[in-house]
Amino acid sequence: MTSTPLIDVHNLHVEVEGKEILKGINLTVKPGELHAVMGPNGSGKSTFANTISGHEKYRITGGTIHYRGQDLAEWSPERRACEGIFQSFQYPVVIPGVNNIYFLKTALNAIRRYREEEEVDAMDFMQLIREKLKTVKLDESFIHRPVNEGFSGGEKKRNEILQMVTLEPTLSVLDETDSGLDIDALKIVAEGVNQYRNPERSFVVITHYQRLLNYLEPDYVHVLKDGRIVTSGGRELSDKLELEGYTWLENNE
Amino acid sequence: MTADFLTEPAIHQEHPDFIQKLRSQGLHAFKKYGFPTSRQEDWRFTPLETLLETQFIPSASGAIDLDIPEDFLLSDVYRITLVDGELSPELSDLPELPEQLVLCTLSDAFTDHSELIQKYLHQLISPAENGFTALNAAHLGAGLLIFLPAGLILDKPLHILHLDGKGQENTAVHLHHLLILEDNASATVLMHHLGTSSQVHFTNVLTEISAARESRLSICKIQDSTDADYHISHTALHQAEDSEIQVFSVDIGARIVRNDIRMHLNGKGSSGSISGVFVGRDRQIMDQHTHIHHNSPNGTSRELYKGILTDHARGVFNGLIYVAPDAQQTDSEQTNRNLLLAETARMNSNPQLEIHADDVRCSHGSSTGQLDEDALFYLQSRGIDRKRALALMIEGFAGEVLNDLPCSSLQAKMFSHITDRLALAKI
Repeated sequence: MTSTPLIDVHNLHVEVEGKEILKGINLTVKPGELHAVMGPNGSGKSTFANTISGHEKYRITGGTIHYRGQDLAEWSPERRACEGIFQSFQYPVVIPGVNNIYFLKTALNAIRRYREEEEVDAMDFMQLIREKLKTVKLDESFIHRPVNEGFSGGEKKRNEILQMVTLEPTLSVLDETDSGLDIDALKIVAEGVNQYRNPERSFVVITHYQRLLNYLEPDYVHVLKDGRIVTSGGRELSDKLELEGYTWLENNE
Repeated sequence: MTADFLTEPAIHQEHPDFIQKLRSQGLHAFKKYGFPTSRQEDWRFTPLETLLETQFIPSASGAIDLDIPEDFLLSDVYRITLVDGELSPELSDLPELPEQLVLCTLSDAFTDHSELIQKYLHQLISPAENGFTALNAAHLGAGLLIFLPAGLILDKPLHILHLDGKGQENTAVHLHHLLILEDNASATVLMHHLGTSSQVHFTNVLTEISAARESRLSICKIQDSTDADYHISHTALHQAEDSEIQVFSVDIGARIVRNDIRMHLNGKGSSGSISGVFVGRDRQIMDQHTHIHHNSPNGTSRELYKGILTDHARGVFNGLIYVAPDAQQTDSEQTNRNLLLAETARMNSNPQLEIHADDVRCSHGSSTGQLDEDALFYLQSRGIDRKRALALMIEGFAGEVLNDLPCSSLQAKMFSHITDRLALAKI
């Protein structure tokens, strides 16, 4: 039985500041699947993530992205989020003066309003967030600090996962969520993702290294190089990359 | 031109000689120097033409027929209300004020507390400082005396509400407040100018604050006049040994704002902070000048000043930190950050350090920029629409000052007021 794809990327071409970065990407992710996208630096991994989220700097010049059968191209970033798309950023930005908890509550209620669900009040939100904090093993003081201000690399990434589990997206794109993490933080992030997995929720995990994949069990692994997916396979592909490095690709061409 | 502004002050025989003398000093200084002009370095960015073209009439005393906007009926404060400079007992609410506290109009103090005020009046701000202080001195009379004798701790904030609206067109209001804290006294004072009328007002206010040994003061000035008003304010503070003062300054309203704050850390170990935020839209001019003078050893000062400008608004921050030769072990930080929400908005920032001691820790920084597009995208990518994301970031920006306001109900109103005003400016 084949289910409809959650996201279907077809021959996607993307330009950044007039330079073509993605040169025809094809990728289909079905509900419940976890796809890893690996590749050397500069291959277009982050461009792919930011294009899905709708950053205006990333201009689609060819091809399509369909999400639940609908063309994404004209959707604002906030609409994409409200429809269930989430990106964990490689470099989460600081929002000076805006407390993490206020930000998260504003975001959750924006999404709930869009879905015509009742907004969460401060009390209920507090209870909810306490539960979610446990998933990423952060203490409560953390949510009263301004978003990402003075956070360590690991805290920033755990904060991204905290947002994911709070906002409950259907498609999560994790852009190098493993970079800059020590082994403990890496395990916490991986556990957060694994707990969050279910047959409806899908993931695109973008990474340079396979170490995160040791904990995540991808269904598919794709290798991105120079704006194209050059090879796809199962888990064994990431093992091969780990052993032989990206130069193996060159030799294979 | 200058003559239009001067109505010869009436001679009040019953007022003490030193008052008459200050008035005539003001009168002479004003006749001699007139208003500052943009040729003077310190007034380079304050275009006064429109102010000078209007003939302002000193506010006449008369019937007051207005109510305090419900939003600003703060609970848990002592409230004293002045309407166009005149005390309104009906709009004040002063139950069970501590007996030792002296709170009266300055003109009452001329007779009732003459000896006391003679020691303080115009000691920190000379009548001849500039045309506005001179004009103010020439009209000396309106304003308040607030005196806290040694050890008095004011249990609730004192909300001094300035309303306009006696209905007279082009009203000039000259105010002089004296706030005196003796040893170990402590108070929170909210100096609040709220515009509600459609008439144009020119407010010229001097505030002299004297804080004796180990006294504590939080003084918060909120200027929220109507958009056609002119607001010229000069606040000077003297701090004795181990005193602590926090100054908050919020400028939102008025067509032209000139706000001078001079903090003199005269006593050893005194500490002071100035936290300011100003918001300009349309063609508002927000001209902010602060001086912090470290005149004694072991003083601490912190200054954080933030500006938000949109449309064709213009802002000035001129901040001087001065450290005298014997003010060793001074610890001072100054930061000015400005946010421009439109390409047509302009900001001139001029932070200055003048250090004459060698064992000090002083830092300053200034930056002016647009909202961070990546931060906006980050918020949008979490489902928050662009307009709300902008408001959230602006609240965050202003919040670094407003979060510390010593009155939480006022704080919430300031946040919503600022975002409302900027939304009107179509950001």
